[in-house]
Amino acid sequence: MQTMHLTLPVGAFGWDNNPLTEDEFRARIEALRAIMTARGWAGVIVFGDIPESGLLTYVSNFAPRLSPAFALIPLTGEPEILSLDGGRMVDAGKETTWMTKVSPAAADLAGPMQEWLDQFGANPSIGLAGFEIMPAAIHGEIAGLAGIHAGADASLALAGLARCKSAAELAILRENCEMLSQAAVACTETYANGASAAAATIAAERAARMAGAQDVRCLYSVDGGNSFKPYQGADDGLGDPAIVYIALRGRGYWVDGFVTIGQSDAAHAAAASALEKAVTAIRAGRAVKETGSPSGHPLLAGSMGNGIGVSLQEAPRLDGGDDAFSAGDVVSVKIGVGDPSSGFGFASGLLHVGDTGNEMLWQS
Amino acid sequence: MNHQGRIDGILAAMAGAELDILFAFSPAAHHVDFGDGVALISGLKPLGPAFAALKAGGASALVVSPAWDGPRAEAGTRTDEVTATDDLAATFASMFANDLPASGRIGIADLGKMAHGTAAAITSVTGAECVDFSGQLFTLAARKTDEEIENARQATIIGEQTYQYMLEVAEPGMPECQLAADMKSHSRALGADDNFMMFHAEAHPLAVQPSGERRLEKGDLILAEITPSYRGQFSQVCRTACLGAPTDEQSDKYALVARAMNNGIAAARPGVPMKAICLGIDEVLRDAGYGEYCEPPYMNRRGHGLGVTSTAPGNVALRNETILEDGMFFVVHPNQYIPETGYFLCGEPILVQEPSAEILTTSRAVLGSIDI
Repeated sequence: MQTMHLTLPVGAFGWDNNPLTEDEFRARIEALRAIMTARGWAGVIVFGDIPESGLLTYVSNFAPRLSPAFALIPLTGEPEILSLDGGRMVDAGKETTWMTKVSPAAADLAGPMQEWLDQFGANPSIGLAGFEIMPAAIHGEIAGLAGIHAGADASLALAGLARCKSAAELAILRENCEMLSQAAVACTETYANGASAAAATIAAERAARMAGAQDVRCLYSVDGGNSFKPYQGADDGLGDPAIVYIALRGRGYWVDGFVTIGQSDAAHAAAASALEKAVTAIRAGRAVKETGSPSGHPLLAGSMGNGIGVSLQEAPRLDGGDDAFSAGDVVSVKIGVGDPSSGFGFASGLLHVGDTGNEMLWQS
Repeated sequence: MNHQGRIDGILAAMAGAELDILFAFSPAAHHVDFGDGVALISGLKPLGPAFAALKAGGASALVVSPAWDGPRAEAGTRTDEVTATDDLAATFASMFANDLPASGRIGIADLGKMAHGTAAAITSVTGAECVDFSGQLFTLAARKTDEEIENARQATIIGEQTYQYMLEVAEPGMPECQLAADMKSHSRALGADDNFMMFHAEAHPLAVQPSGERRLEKGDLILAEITPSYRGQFSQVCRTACLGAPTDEQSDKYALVARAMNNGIAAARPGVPMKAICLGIDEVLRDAGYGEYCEPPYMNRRGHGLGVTSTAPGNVALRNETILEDGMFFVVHPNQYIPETGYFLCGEPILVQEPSAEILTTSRAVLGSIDI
């Protein structure tokens, strides 16, 4: 879900306290290398920007906070980070990743990129991940380099690896769901004490941040779910019920959900019922279209949710298509039902899809 | 100057450049060091990728994504028309493919910040010979509107209150990232729509950097670059506080840096170049024997403009020859490394006016002390 991007995320980004081990990241790199070998890629370049850094974080734990960055992963040898930040930010970035080499490229991106590509000889075959979100000005600096000019799309392959969550990743996601619960409680209690929906939204954001979230992005509605907006400052609107969307990232992993605050209405009850039905239908191997028809609310853009993890929106997209759920998926199921005159109700849940059964990680 | 006055200035500049239409783009990846042409023209801080169009006759349009952000855009924009879409490039083509002048009469701002696929699709409609109007557009917004100045004042109040809050809650053992998060949340509750919080602490800091997970210790110098945004206008308050009583040397050196800042601010008035402020700061520090630390790698800039609409007039730096004008707003921060004590953050937001710049903060930077 698109939300307002806030500058410079603050939170626990450090590598030293990260629950994921270097072995876990190296296993990811080896899985990627198996794909590289199969496809004949000499290396993979992974791009991440501040608003969206999922694939970069997946291979490195590095999350850009002030400028974009690249992970450069050769078929053999040590991977490294190339950051578009300058000196002090690069030092701060080094503290967030297991990769030992983090180099600045603020003054010259093409030079060090070419130098890295040169190790593979002339016209190497390179996989490119995350390049679809790359700003045109950055792309223009490197698009002509041999290897990148004819680079192959590696986003889908890498996202495919990121889709299946490990036990350690699930542990982080469970902790993040606990943060989400704390945020929801703060939101509900603040509203119950007479505060506005905007103030309740900020209370949710604060609770998540104080619980350790790296980033929190919220939207709220005070017109029966017809429209949503980010917090833009004081706003007396109550809604009753008001609907708050909370997305938070902890240790590189996103969780999200809707919270209905105030007097629950028929639309919310209908959404909760539809959520129950959808969740029951989700099984490993089953096509997403068997989950039900996508919600009609514009906020959900023709889907009932999506996979979630290092990115807020991963595969599978619950859009009524033929993609199937896989064991290891964590999906964020979102329901928005109703109509503009009587109002919309929202309900959501986070579900881990297992081989033999599912685990509900969080439910609104 | 009001918003329409700024638009009139842009239209005049477009006429001078023989432009029939101007397109300003925004990826909505907001940044304290970047302007946002969409916010500048429309008055709306975009949530997703967006563009604003301004025709030579004054007609204007805003196109935002995603489509569901339409109601917010309609409520907040000052353009004549609003369109909300989930496909920005396709909407651009449908609106303008049959209604564009030759490339040379089209001005473009910040297309390079858009995702390259989107930018390529738009360029296929406009042609590749458009005039890059980015620099001129943001320079034209170097003087803030009355509304932006009022918003800067509010942002400054939030910044000062956030610093006072920090003095109340900071204590040894607290992870610095948690304190930064607390301050960010506090400023949001005070009405900030954003807060760029560069925040760092250690006993002898070499520079300020994003907060980490290190726990605060007695004797730390806490560096707080508090940068709230109110209704889309950033302000910045730079402060340093000692966790525990500061030493006499720390207090003396901080007073030196504050004196240098004040000497720089004293030079800020309409008609003088921006670099004069930097020279004023350096003069005091060089006289005190710290000339070496007025050069890179210790020093790059002594302040900067503040977005979201425009970061003009740019950096407070020796290379900035920009002549200051009434209504320009930026932060002056010596933010100096002193070898005996470490790095100090010391900075105030100022508004250039006759006869001398107005410092927007109500209390001036002094080395803070946190009782423990």
